[in-house]
Amino acid sequence: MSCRKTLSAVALMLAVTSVTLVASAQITMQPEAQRMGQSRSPGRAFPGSTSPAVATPARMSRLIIKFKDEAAAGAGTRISSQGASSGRERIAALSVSGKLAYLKSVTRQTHVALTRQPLTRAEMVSLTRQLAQDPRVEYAEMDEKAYPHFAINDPLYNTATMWNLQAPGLYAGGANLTNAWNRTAGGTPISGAGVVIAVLDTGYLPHADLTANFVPGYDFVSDPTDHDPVPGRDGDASDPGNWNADATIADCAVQDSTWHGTRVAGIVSASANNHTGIIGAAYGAKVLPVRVLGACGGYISDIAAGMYWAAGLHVDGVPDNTAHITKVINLSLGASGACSSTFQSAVTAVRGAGSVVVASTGNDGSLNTVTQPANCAGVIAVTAHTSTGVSPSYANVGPGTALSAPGGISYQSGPVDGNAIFATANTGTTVPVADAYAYGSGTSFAAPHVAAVAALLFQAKPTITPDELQSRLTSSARAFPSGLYSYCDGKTTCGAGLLDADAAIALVQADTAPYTQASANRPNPVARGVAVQLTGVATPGAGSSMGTTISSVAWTQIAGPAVVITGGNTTVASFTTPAIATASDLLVFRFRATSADPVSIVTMTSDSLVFVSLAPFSTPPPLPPPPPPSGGGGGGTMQWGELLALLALCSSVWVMRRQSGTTPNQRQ
Amino acid sequence: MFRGVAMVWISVCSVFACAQSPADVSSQASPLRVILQFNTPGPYSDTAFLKELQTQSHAQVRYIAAVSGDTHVYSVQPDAGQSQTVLLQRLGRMPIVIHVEVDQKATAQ
Repeated sequence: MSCRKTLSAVALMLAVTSVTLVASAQITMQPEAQRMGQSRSPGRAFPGSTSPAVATPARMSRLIIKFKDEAAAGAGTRISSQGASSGRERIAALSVSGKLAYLKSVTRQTHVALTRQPLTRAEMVSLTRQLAQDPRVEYAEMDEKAYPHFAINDPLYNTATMWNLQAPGLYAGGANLTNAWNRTAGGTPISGAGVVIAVLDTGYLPHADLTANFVPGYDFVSDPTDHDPVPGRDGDASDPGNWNADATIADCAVQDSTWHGTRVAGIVSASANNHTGIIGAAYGAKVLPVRVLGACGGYISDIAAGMYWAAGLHVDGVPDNTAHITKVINLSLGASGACSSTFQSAVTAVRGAGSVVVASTGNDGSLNTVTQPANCAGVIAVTAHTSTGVSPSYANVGPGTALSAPGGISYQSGPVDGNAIFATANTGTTVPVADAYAYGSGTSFAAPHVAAVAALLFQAKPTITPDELQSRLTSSARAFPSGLYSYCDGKTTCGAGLLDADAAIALVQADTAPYTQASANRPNPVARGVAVQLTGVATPGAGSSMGTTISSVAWTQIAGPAVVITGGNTTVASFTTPAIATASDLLVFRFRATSADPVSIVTMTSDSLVFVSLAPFSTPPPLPPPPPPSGGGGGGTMQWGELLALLALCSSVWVMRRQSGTTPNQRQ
Repeated sequence: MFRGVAMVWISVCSVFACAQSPADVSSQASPLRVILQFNTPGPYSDTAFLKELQTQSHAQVRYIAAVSGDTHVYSVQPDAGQSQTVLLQRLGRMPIVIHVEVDQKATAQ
């Protein structure tokens, strides 16, 4: 080996060693499921679209590294003090430079590097974390490809008409559904699939943009003065219209039919990619229509009965709901006064059965009171905000308000800058006539956004408890905007903040992923030809349900000269380092743990990596001279008989050659 | 002859009821929807039970619907002159009733 090659090898080994000493000791990865299967999947096919689905984890090799300002980096750095060092020099100066190559610069301080070999997302995350620990690095992150969001072919969907679903970058008040839909759970897009949301309202209409997502509901309106052609409770939850033309009825305004239940259902779960109308926030969820409001409202007793029934609890005189038990109950309704005993009992019962109750706070413009049942203990009380995230004057806030969701503002002659909620409706002013779409505003339209996101969370983690779900919704809420016109800025009576679907799901998915650690029993560099023990530790995520277990663990070699792993499906595995010279001296092992929920089919995985660097290969010393024959023992020593046989064989060959006058090699 | 007597009787009753009705006292015009929560599930729509309820409350009682296993809603027409407060107190005094409240209306928001 030339002197130059030797020096290069030593330098490389030193670099690799410095990486692996850190890496093997403490690298713990973020849950891969969160990043891969369960997180955004750029390019993922939307149901009905033709984009190919991402089936296997892609490997990547681009990193963005932003260095701190050199002056701020302080002494001790190896960066030249004469102006900005080149990106190439700065990357070369990093401890992990052996794994990186400079690609290009983005700005004076920000550069793009390539890894020497493509890495999985988990490995890239690990690398970025290592880099971030370097005092000279401000941050490091993957240079990911951006893809256009899945193409939604619902013709009335656009960012202006449905600002309520957009990311906060587009509309400060957007509920960030468009990003949430890019996530997956167990390989299935997050859409509310598998979850039933009960909409307790005026009933449903067989709107073309909704029918696919309705499941059979029930009519609980017991008021005989209702417009229902068959008064009383029955299995027909359709909306006959709630118009009122009689000005003499107390507490009942003269009005056209509102199709309120159909509007709320559309916000929750209008069909997606059906070339029709709009898209619901939980477009994959099913809606259980429970008719509890008729003309002039509905009685608390009927609403409470509908809640019990929707949650699968028994109500005398009504067939039990066993086919479509709801996990989320939306109540875009309210009455004045403190929480009634009837409401509270119902809320307590259904929450105990594992369902969450979401209710609107009311439209009275109160700053200190919310209506019932929003003011009942255990209800997720939802106030409203506009597209800019501020609280509109009509929206009630007060103690008990959990958070805010898009509710828009009132308009007189049409939508103001799209600042109302666009939803499914009907053209009929009394009885239903034809499908339509309409703008509206109110806390009634804010609550279903939260109900829809609750469904998304139930899909992400089917065993999530109502308490946990509410906590995740509020913990992930964005702060109210500050400013002169933002009443809710800093006011706890407005709740935790603005609904953020994507952040809420991220929180739930991070919670449920297992926690892993992995290490090797030998410090780097490891000698060649020796056994190395790999030890992994896996525990269920902190937010996992009771009974969640680690269902499997697996060690996989993901880089370096191939070795045989023994005990690859146990927490303690081993392998023997190569005894010979190898093209690469770095071995990387992945310890992956998978947790399984005892009830759901959702599994989450998490990875940790172990880096093992090999000691430099050195040429074996010359063989020692063979020991003198000892006459016994010692493998490899010829016996007398064997020696005599060999001599006889050689003699025979010599005699044969003499006789034929040729050698074997000369024969043709 | 019978019809004439009945009309007179109804008229007398109506006059009497109106004369006796302060704000809190119910009239025959509007029955009240009342939610009763019982201490245990049971056949609370049975005719026998409704009779007992009627006796205890001094009101005409009609079963409307169940709210849950132990909670039911009734239409209660108080006897003339009986106030709503007294009616609710009488219903609440029944040993099997653990809670009584008026069935309010909620509206879409």
